Amino acid sequence: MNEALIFDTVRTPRGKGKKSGALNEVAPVQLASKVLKSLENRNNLNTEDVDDVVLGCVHPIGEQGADIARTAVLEAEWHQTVSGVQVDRFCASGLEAVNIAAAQVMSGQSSLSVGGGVESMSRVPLGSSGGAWMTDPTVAYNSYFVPQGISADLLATKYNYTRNDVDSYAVSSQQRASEAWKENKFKNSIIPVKDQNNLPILEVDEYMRPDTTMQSLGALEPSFEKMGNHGFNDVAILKYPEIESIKHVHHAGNSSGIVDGAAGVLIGNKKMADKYELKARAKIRSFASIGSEPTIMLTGPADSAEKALKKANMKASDIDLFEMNEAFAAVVLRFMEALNVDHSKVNVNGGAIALGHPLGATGAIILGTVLDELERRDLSTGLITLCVGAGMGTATIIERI
Amino acid sequence: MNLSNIKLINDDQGIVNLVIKSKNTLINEEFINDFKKSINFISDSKKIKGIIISTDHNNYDYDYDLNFILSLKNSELIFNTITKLSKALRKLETLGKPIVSIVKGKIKLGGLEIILHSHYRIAQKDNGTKFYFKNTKYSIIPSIGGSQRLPRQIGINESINLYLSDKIISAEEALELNLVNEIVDESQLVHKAKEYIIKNPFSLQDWDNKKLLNTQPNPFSTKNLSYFISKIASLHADTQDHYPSVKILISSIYEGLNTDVNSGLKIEARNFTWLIQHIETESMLETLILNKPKEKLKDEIIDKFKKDFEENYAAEGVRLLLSGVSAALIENAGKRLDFNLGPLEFADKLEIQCVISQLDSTDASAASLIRSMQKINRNGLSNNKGFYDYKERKKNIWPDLTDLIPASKKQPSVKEIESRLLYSAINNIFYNYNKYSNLKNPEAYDYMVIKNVGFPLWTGGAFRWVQKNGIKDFINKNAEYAKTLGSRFILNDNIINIIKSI
Repeated sequence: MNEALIFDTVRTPRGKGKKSGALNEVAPVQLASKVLKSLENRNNLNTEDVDDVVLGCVHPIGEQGADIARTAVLEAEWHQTVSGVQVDRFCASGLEAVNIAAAQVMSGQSSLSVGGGVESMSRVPLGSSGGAWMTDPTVAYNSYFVPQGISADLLATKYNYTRNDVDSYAVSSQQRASEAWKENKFKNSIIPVKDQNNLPILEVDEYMRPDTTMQSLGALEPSFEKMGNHGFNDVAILKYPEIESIKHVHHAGNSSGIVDGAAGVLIGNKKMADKYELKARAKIRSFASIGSEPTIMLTGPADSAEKALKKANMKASDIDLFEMNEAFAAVVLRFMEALNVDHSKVNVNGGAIALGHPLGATGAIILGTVLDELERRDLSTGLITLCVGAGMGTATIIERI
Repeated sequence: MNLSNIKLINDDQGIVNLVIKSKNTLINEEFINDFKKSINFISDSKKIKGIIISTDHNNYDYDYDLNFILSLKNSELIFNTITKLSKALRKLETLGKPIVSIVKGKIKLGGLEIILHSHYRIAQKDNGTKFYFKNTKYSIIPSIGGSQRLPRQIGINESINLYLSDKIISAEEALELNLVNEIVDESQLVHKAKEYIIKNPFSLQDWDNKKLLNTQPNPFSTKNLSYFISKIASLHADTQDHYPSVKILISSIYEGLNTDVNSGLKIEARNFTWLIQHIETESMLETLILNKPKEKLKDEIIDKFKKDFEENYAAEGVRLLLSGVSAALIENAGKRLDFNLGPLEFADKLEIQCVISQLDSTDASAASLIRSMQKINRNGLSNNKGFYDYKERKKNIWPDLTDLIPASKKQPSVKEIESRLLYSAINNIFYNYNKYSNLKNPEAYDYMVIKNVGFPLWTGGAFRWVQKNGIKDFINKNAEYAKTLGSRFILNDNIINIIKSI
């Protein structure tokens, strides 16, 4: 089997996912093509050598529809022989895209591929692609569907994470992200978004609230209580009858931010490394996706991490740094508890609570974040994982070379 | 043409009056065949320009012939029977010839489904003209187009609300809903119907009119999308995992409206075919409708039954608590069975003292728990403290209860708890049947325990449940319980004989 080598990671800054957000004026295909353009320029690629572009996108409808990966290839003026495919594994789509690109290289079917993702949540809103899972009565009944926020509160209830626990976690995410920006720790991967005149549109992650405190979070009302009281709490309890009532602890301040963004990871084999004199920054050790109980939905990261560790013949203690997507604070708390991992190794530069979670792109973003940090600290191994809708988890282990 | 269910009367303008003859059941083999014959005749006749559908009955209170439908014992037979009628209606609806229904009196689901396929519906101006809806939860669901045409006619949300209610809709309300198009005096009914036919020589439903297709309700519109997501949850929460008819109704509407009427009718018929063979559907229909007792039990008997039943339920919950089962699991098990409240909340409601009368010498620890709670004034709902704490509209299980009775580390499955509560309730009903019954009619008791005592509706009653789920299993499971839990699970021979006889 060939080694899948990581040559480069890039990402846009994350813009607030609403009309007033800086990236709202930029079409998602432009975000994605800027990522591709940047990979081309930074690595002096002749794009004819790229076999495939795999992009995660969770709402592939409207302007994100019709295979946005191929559309971005065309818009970036890459060679017409470069194919593109859009994939959806909900919140792990970006990481899934990286894994698929890596698999192409490992199996010898690609020499050079891009894995990445894009989501303009300000232009194609959360939930806009619908889906049988939540709207088809038979499916929703049989799978005890509840929206993810209810699942997060169910998880917190089941594992006894209090409002104080989740808020403390959120404060630390903000502090870490703010520190990271102050020390410019994201500089290696960040590509400022500029217009066609080279005028800047967005250069930094704009969602952060560095002044967040326990007091400021304490003032926020739980986001999912009202929704829960309209039947979803009862559906969750039907599945978890040991629970008396759902404690609603999550709110806008301890859940991932809604943002716009795109990211890409350039992956190839040794031949391409030699051809372009590219430094292989890391290799993909293993990756795995799993299915887990769909109502609580968000327990998959630990299972997928275990599966990827097993494939790599490693233990959790062999991992130097973890990136566990901060979809909701309780998800990360549960992950750390299940794998017995200390917070000092997890999301050391903050996460989606502070920086935002552009659904289809996040997996590729946080892979870049952990690789940059491994290099900065001169450590070796990183594990990236995300919780996934409908009860799944995806994880990837990388190792610096 | 004069058939036993339908008569066709022609006039000299090429308008035929299709009169459904006085009967109060529909959807039996003879009716379906007559209907099909009439429609083929209308379709083949070039002279017929328009159709007026009416009844010579005072009411449109047509209902399903449940005996007939339940006698169809395989899926193919049920599906073919249902689709025969629904195809005939569909054929009539798409001939292009205008169809007008004249609506009067009491209109029940069967009648509603028949008139919905017409292009224009005229209601008689009369206080007696009313649509009677019956909650789908009790297993009667539309099967010949009602789940497809009503939402297309009046909207998704409005249809689901009506089908899940026991509402009675006046002609005026029906007009507002677009369920009827016009209300006129009795003397004007035929005149107005003919007027419509003459003015609209080619008539199609909106859902068959290509120009109007984009005005049809779409489950994936932003509004309907969020409606379905939350409605499914609230219905699932309301029915727990019982009453499949509710799921089937909303499913037929959702799936059918994602496609056209032709596919929608097939979806509806397939769903109905599945539902009518479901054990809960059969149980409810057999007890509530087909064997509805003529005799009524005396109120004092009902009261005695109810009191003992509720106390027994509460006591079983307390026993479970003492065996180390967590209070939340006990309460949720009770709710999943569709008892209105969990057993411990019931104990609070009745006052926890009520449990004492149900305990025997083997229940000393239960009695002592009740006394300890009474000592600290936790008597129940009356003083806002019992197994629960009650504060204004909120309630939660008393947090310190686990200090008195710790929950075991390893908890049983909720299904085990449900089984125990259900068996205990059934045995209690059987015990009281032996004790109080002066009326040797188990079916009347099934009806009574469902309607008046609080035994879950979906079971079809205690006797029906045992009969449907297997007498042998019931006897064996009780014997198993009796070994570990005591004499209240020992079945009396008389009861076994009664169950075998129904």
